[in-house]
Amino acid sequence: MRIERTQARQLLGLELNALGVAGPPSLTGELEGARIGEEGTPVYDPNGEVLFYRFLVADGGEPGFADGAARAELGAPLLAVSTGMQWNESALVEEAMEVARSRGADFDETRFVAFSFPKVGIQFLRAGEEIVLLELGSWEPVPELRDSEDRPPLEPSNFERWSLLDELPEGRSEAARRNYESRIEGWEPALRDIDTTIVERAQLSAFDLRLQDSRELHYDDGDAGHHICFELHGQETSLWCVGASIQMLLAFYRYGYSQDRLAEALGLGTRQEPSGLAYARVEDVVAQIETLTSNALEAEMIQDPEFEFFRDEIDANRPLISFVPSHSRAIAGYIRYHFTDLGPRPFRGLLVYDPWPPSTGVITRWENWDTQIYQYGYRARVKIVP
Amino acid sequence: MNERERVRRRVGELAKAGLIDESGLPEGAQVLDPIPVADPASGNRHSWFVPVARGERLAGFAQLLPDLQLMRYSTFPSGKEGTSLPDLADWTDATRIRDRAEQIAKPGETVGEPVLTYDRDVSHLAWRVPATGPSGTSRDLFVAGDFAYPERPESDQPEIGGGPASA
Repeated sequence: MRIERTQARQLLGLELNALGVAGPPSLTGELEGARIGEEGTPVYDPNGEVLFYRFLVADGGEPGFADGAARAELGAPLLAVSTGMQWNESALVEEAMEVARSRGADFDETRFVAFSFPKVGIQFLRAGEEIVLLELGSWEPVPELRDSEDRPPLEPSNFERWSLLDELPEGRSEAARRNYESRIEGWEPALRDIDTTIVERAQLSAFDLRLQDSRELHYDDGDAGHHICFELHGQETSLWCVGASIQMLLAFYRYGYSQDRLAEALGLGTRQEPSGLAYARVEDVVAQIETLTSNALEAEMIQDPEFEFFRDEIDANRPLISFVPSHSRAIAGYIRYHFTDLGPRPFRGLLVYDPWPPSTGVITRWENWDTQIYQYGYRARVKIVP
Repeated sequence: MNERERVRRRVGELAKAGLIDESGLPEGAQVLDPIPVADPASGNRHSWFVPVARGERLAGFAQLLPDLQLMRYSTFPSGKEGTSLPDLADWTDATRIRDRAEQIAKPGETVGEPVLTYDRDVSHLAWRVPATGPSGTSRDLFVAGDFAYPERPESDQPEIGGGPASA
């Protein structure tokens, strides 16, 4: 479903008013009084459809910009908002044109293209045919679209051109469309009363708004009376991220396994000759969590987990393991800025206890859900005697 | 304003807005100059590594895409008064990084200039240091903080912790 620029701007105005109230205090200060530019920059999908519009957001505390969906398949009217940075379309095009000319490009049209959503570049065309596509900022030429059958959908390499609209599985885009539509329905009562060209806190004073939804693991689920409770373990070889992730999860339940012992159980070699866990054996994680706890823990693996999978487990005070392409980490918390009754919000993040770098590990607060590919999620729960 | 300054400023703004950590940056922390992270395959810029330092220690870092979108903000466990934080030089000083690589180089190998990149997956940030033997054959060594290791030969099958998922 296509959304015209005027409607995208109107919905964006509503969402920004919402964020102006619901976001963290410093952000709401930045947005207050901001006006939404009339001319949104169309940003295209590599398949030629307009994917979203980028609007200047100015005259608030800081200049900024926001992206409004041009396709319902994106799941929400507001894709992202960025303050503290000016969106200067013409200056960017000028800068890109200099680079393109220095490469000998002869063109008669430019377009902004989300070549690897949300990464954006500027495309140079002649008579409708692409001459070159340069990544925004680095001005590196973006490779041609490759045959997506070479890899699973939505698993592009780090610098690859791919079409979000073409690669979204049917079920996922349908769910996103429903999400988008329900969000629009939720906005209907507000549309009559709000000036969507400006962000003003007072406009939404009658609506029920919440700041955010966030939780970290505690000793038990009585958050008020118990401390935050999760320990980071760095991986002890360059390949033992799975062992270290399981070690962190088991340690939460007071099972003290060394990574050497876990490597033995999982077939990850030795410190002298370590190996990773073969993708063909991803289910071994489930089996080993259960075996190593004498079945006191019941584990489960989910492929392509949704954010809600992580949120629900953290809310139940249970740590998780997350596999991203070729790496494994433990998850101990989440955050999302949201707006009561109005569906998805612009930022979702996970609190990641990452065993990399080796020996120290690092705590990532927050990992932007929209910039990572979550392949497998593992949860484990204590079996309760009925 | 040059690109590095824009990146650095962006991290400061995200911190101020509470978007990277509600409690803001660690006390006394400073956002240092960003270091480009190279894509291991193409050598193109993949992202920016922006160190957040407490004195001579690395308290954490932000990683931003070239369009300044935040990928992650990470902190190291600090221990008492920051004593368990990694040395800043382990992650930012080319001489220290080369020294680490030399410790695992084979006799006769000479090590070259380190490049900040990642090993297989973007979450495995590491400095890649080329090591060249007397016969001219070259291999890569990786240094991640105080941990150095040689590049692993391609595995027969994709692994978590090993080869690429799409292999």
